[in-house]
Amino acid sequence: MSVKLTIERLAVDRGGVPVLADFSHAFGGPTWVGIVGANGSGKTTLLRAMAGRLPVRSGRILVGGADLAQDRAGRAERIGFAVESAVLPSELTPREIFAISARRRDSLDDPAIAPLREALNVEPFLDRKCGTLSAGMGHRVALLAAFLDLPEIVILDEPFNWLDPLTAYDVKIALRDFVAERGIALITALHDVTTLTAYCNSGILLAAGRIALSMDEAELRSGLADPAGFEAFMVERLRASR
Amino acid sequence: MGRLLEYDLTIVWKGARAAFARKRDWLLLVLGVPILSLMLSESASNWVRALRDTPEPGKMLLVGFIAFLTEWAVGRRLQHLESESVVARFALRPGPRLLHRAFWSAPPLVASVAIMAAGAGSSRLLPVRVGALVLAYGAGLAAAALARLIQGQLRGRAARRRAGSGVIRSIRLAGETRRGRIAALVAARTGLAGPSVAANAALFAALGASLAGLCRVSLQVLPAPGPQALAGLAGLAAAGLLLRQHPPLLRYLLYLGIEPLGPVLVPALSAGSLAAGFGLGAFAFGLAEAAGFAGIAAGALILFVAFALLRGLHFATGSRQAAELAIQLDLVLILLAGLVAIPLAPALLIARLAMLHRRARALRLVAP
Repeated sequence: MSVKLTIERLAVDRGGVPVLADFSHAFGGPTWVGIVGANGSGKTTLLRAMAGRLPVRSGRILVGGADLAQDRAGRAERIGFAVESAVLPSELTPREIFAISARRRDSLDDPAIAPLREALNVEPFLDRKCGTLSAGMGHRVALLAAFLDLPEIVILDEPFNWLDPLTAYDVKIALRDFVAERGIALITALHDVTTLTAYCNSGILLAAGRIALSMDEAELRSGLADPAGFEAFMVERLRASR
Repeated sequence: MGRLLEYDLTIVWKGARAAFARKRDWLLLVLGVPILSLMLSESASNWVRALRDTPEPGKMLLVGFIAFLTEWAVGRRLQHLESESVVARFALRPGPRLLHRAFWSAPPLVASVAIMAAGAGSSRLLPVRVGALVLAYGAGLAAAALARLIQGQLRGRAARRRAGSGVIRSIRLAGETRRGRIAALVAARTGLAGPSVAANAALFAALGASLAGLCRVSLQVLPAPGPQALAGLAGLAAAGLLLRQHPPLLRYLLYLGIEPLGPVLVPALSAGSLAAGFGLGAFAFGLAEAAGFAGIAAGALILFVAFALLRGLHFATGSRQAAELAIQLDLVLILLAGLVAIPLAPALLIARLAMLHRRARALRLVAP
């Protein structure tokens, strides 16, 4: 397995307040990494910083060996990231957003995207203005936009929020298959222990901007045998690391 | 053109198309364009005369102000695009950023050139005027950059203080995206629309300037106190439009940990822009009665903002019925206080607002 994204001693501030102080981890592909943590543990800051949406104070972000810590444009170029659906411009349609935001205007029609496009089921509202879409629909648009141009690393912050159970299930299956087939590194913040144990290849428990626990695939799958026990274990670790 | 510019221009174009989607919108346009043209032609000579009569330092101040506003608005937009939008990859590159900045700065720059050129008599003075333009515009740009730096420092200090006092961390950390969602909610309930508060401020400033032009025209066609009443009505209508409130939303925002004054201050900012635009417009149109008109319009706005604050805080802290009763009681008390001694009325209002604000802040969601 080749390491695609390596974080070394990352420090990130938000509004002048240190949120991440010394974060290090290597994300290799193909893999789906689930990051869990309490509210305010630094998940969103970590994801946004990795994706180039936030500047970093210090540390290294190696993408394919190149240090892009001080190159936000480079990170944004090489790492797919799903924005908040609330920031999609209400005047534009999803089709227009896809055409403008992707490197290639016809990225939406790429056969490699087809399974995700089908799972996210954006067809019925491709030509409707985003301002008229529900939160779930907008979220589906934002998720698909992250995969256009087929980046090798994709970062999603709580991707299954707002999704109905049917779509959430289809998307989980499609993401798992996409990771395996395309060999990408998918990094997601999650609040759902079931998704973590059933779909992710590794897990990170984040507390106060630091890794409180790392879990490999075997450890995660063991959680499937006793979901209640695993959830209790996770909660205990979260409480202990507060 | 570049994707970044295409993104914003498409938003503007689609927004404009949506504004004229119905037949009656076109009817309004058909009726409005001649009136607007008439007003513009009426005011154009005043503009030129006022600019000619304005001494060089005044012109430079105006140019600096234009540069400041432009840089502030464009900078804010770029900041949003690079951190929140689907076109972040383009917004972070120097080339597209420069193109975006140049495009949106071009009209204000042309206006600045026109301002400095007004009343230019001798070609010998051209280098001096160009120098003054560069100096004034550059100072405006520098002031905007400095203001952004200071704002960042102040925000950082406030954030560190909040972190120390235990205000909910998730709100602090979710930061800009959460604020974006709340802004969208607030926008939906206050009538504010558009990509950003800055754009709204610019829009209302332009509206204010247009109102000043209307007052200028009305002075010629309406007998007193018609023009003054018109200014007051315009101020009240603008405030009424801007400060619409939705009580359940105000309470919900508190539960999310949002500052209780926030939902009112967003439209109040637009109201302030409207007043500033009115003042600038009055000056530019050579409206001799500018101070009086601006006073009347601003008075109406202030009254409305105070009432909106009172109402918003009451609704945020109590049930609808209780809030309505309390608002009426407050208004009666403030009126009685004013009858006893006029300064007592605003003093009582401010004290009451402070009390309610303290109560609302206590209801805000706070982390352990």
